[in-house]
Amino acid sequence: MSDITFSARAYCKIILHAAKYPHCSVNGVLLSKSSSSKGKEIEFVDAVPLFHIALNLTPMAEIALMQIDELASQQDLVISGYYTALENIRDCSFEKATHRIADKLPSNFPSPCLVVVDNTKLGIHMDNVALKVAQFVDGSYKPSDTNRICLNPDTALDVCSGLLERSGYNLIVDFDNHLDNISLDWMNPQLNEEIDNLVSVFD
Amino acid sequence: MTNVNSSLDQLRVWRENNDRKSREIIEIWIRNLNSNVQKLGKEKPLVLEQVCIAALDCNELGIAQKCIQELYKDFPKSLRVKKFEAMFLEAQEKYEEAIEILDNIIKHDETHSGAKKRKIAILKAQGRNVEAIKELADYLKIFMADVEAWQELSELYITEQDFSKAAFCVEELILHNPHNHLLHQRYADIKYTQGGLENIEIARSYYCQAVKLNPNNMRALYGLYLATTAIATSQKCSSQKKKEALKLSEWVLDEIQSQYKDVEVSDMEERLGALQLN
Repeated sequence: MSDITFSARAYCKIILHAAKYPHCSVNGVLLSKSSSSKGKEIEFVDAVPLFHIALNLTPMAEIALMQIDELASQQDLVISGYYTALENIRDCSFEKATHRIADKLPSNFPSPCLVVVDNTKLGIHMDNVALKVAQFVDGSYKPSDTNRICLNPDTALDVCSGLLERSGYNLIVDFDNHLDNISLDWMNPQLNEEIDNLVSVFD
Repeated sequence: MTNVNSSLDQLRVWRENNDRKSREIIEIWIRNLNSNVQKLGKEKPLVLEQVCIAALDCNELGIAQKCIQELYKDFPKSLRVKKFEAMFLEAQEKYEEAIEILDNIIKHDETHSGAKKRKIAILKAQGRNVEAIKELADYLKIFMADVEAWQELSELYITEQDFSKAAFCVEELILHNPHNHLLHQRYADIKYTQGGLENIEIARSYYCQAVKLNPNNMRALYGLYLATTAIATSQKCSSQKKKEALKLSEWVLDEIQSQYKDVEVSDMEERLGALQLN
């Protein structure tokens, strides 16, 4: 069974982004190593939070993707996934989640993933991964079995709970925040440090 | 007492700015105000309403209930308080009971816009966006000057990807508020999203207007760069038009770079460099 793995950074950023804007739809992209682009196995090493305002408008998404692509390729990473958390708490269907970015991903990466946050599973203490994943196979996104979704390290859920407890959602910066105040960095160096610290605590 | 006063000042600022800040409001309430309800003074009803909404936002139903009870003590027959009672039911997803109360309010006062809008909000909460759009459009036939409602309708249309109707709503908003740079920028965003040379040229004009009204609007600067670049590289354009667009795109790129001059973000050159490749 080929796995779909989320690093602590990727997982925490998705959840914190959703927690920062509980009343909005949010979205972002996922990055994986470009050297590992063969086969269906995929490890998302990082996430870049994009928007919480008017997700379906394209101009700022174009700007963001150009910049992310440039920085990612320097670190030997590639945009290989799209995540979203929908505004309505009961919505976590892939149909509603789909987006122009997700449609374009296959031209950038052979088997990208579409990730939806399962809002109803969210809470400060989470026992399960609160994500649903669909992978692009044979021309369309197909839901993946939950057994295939893993976290690296296993303690990522505890790390995420730790961050939520200390209001870590105030730290996360998405591209909309950056456009409102350009001194905020959407690569989230400060949050990365915080996550790495917690990972070593739980190790 | 100083705690109460400073808390009230903070809450007033957020109220006036229309800040959501629900988590922060609840923290202030628990820390300083909960045990001092009698000391809230003239602002008491306003503060109770603000805290009530914040509490519903944070699923602090106990706090919301207390606020509503306090309000009922002072205004036993108020329709305005009744609306909060309906919202309290909404928060528990008891939609039918909430609608019953709201219908009752509307029966007493046909012009009660708040109750009508809550009913639309319930449709939205149930995921019935198409019906919500229809109801909101009907509502706007009566309450044409309700700017908030136009804003909400434009956002619903954007969610449903009906961009031409979303653009129409923003046109209304611009008529109501012609000097708001955010509206010009939003209109341009929608036009650019629709695509096609004609729309992109409209987008360019509106981005220009937004930049003129606020030279620091980053979305408008980036948008203007995209729109002018698209025009300069379009095959359908006359060379005169292309030249103009190219000049404008060079100017705006300079503007963007100068915005970032005093900002300390790592790899800034690479990030902006990504734009120039096109």
